[in-house]
Amino acid sequence: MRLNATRLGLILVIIGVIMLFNLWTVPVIQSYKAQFEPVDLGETFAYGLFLAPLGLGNIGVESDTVVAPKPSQDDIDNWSGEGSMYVSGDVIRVEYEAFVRLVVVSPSGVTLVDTEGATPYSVPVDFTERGEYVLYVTNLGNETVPIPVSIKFPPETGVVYREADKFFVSIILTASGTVLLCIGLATTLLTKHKKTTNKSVADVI
Amino acid sequence: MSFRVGLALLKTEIGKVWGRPILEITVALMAVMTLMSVQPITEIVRHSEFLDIFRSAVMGSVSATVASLMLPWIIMCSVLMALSFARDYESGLMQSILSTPISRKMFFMVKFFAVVLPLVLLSWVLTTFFVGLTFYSSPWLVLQLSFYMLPVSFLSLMFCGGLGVLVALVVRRTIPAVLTSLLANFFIWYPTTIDTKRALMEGVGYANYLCLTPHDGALVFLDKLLGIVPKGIPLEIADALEYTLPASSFAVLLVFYVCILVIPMFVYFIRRFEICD
Amino acid sequence: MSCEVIGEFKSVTKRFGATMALDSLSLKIYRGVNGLVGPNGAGKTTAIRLSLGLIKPNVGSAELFGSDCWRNSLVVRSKVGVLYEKLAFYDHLSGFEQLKLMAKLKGVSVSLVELKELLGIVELDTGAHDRRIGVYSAGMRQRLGLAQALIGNPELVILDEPTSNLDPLNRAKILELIPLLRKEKNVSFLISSHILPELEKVCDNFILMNKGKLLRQGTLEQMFDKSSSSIKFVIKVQPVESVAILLKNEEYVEDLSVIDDSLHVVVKDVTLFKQRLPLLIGQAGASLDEVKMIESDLEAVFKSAVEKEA
Repeated sequence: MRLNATRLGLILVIIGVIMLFNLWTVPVIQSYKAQFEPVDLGETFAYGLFLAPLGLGNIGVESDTVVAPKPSQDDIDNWSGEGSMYVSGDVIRVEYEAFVRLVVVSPSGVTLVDTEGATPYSVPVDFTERGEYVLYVTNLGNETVPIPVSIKFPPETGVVYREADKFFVSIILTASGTVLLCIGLATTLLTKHKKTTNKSVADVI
Repeated sequence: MSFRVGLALLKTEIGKVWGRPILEITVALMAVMTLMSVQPITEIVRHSEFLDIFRSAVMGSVSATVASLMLPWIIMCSVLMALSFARDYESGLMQSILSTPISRKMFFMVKFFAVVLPLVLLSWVLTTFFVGLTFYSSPWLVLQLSFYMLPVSFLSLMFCGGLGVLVALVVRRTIPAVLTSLLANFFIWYPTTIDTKRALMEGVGYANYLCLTPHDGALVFLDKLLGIVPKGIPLEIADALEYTLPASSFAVLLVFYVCILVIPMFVYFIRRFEICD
Repeated sequence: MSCEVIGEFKSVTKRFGATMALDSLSLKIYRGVNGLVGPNGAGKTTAIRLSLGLIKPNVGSAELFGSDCWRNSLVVRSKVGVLYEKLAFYDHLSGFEQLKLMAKLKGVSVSLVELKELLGIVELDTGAHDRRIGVYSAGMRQRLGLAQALIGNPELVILDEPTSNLDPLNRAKILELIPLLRKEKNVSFLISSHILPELEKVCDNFILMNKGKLLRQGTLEQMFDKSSSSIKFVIKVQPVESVAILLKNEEYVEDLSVIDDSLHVVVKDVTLFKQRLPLLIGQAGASLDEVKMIESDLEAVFKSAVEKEA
């Protein structure tokens, strides 16, 4: 199989264009929220967030949480004793105020955000790296509360706000593939032209 | 001497099979399918659990990518294998080559692996590339996990190729062989699209045995190799074959499928196959 | 012609389903130029494939150079080169590359000079050597096929309809090449064809086949001895029709046809014909211009053999 410049260029262009198309059409996450167990006074809880370099977004420290209802006697009686238990009743939405310190560390260890404030508040963060962003939330208030965090991106985003590194790679592939393809085609044309010219000279002689 | 002869013939066969635009079409098909299957983690997790979840995400991406790649590699393998044998038979090239002092064993292996090996390599490269693009913060993890797909794709492609050869040697005409091979392999691949867990929950009887089909079994084998533990399996289906059988059972099953198809074809070709029309 | 036997079929029978392709075929291939003659469907290509181990006989055995064609086909194929009627190459390769590959498959090393010489012998245009085979014409493919068959100096070259894709000029050139190669490289040939006049010019030994059976084998002289004693005459006479009507009724006349105002007559008894012809011409009131006796040719021999078999 002859993998010359033309074919290699064509393959790179194909991969680059498909990646570009994918980046253009795949929806980016708009928002996400999570909470875990309550944080004691003065304690710090660390969240991990794997993100692509999606550009400017907002990290929020929230002030509302949902609490699962307690199981009733009927729920306990109906439970088989194995696996999960069905709990009747609606979840309880609880709102509270807490004073929280938020520290955001990038995958390369750079502190991007170090603020304090009363919940709810959000801070803008420019996500320029791919990897784990660590969110440290410290409970500076006066009661033990769960501290949910969220991440939001602007709803109207162009390609540049999508995974920037993949976008960069797809551009590189497309551009280098196009260059290789052109070089390959030019070389083929030149070689053919040379052969024809040499033949006519030989014919003349 | 015969090794060098085999290599020379392999190089020529690869050049013929993967000439323009076959390689380009294959890359395009695989790239389209692969891209859709790699998603970064979108959940916020406990920092202490991050590494485990990250590893699970990489494993999940590799598994999802291979599952997506399976259809393109089945299509290409069945078409190219049928073309390789049936078209060469019909055109007289098989007759010409077998009239030289090359053993039928060598000839069969060269033609077979000229289709299978590049597909295995291409699948692995594309999987590593696209999963690595998302998880390049841990390149060695991606490389290590993507290696697990090599035996899985190899066995799956061997089966697929064996079926293509069987059809080609029986039908001996190019277009009918290609269509029949494609249909047969597609039909065998189809069970992989069935949501086994849901089918089991709904009490569909045969769902328990879907994991024993060649391609579905390959995907289950890959998941077990990667160490993916299915979550949230209800008790009533926890004893299904897919969840209880170890990875080694699936390995034996896949090797068995390859043996019952490829070995008889190989023996038939070297001992009984006649060129006549 | 040498009497050395290099190959032999012993009561070979080959069936493809209900079709009997070869029916107890026994023949010998001699060192020299052998012609395998028969109409389409006679079993010539089947016999060739059998000798190369591509098909297995149902009954009997075939040998070339002392090796069984099926069981030891590798040995046989290392000594034989073949040009099939259905030409097939790796079209993405150039002529040079194809020959280099075939040389490797045959286990011989050939230099570029030797390849060029070989391509020169078959008169394949120099400009075509580096071009993809996919763009070759039918004639060029035929020449390349011949070069391929000659690679590695085989002891026997099998040519299956070697002139089928060629124009008359090139057919003549190929036919001239065969005795030359026989002389210079000591190569034996087995040429399968249904164009009998061509074979007559080059072959030493003939194998006549029809419907999978051997009809006759031997040199041309041996063929003529065995054939019927019918002789063909061409008579230029005016008016031709009246003489034709009279000759038709004669017992010794086997065949009669009028071609271009001449009478073509095949007679069983030449002596009687010579006695009766003047009488018949006188009876018809015709004027005789010329009587010419035509030597027996292979075509006639073959026709007669087929008729006898029937």
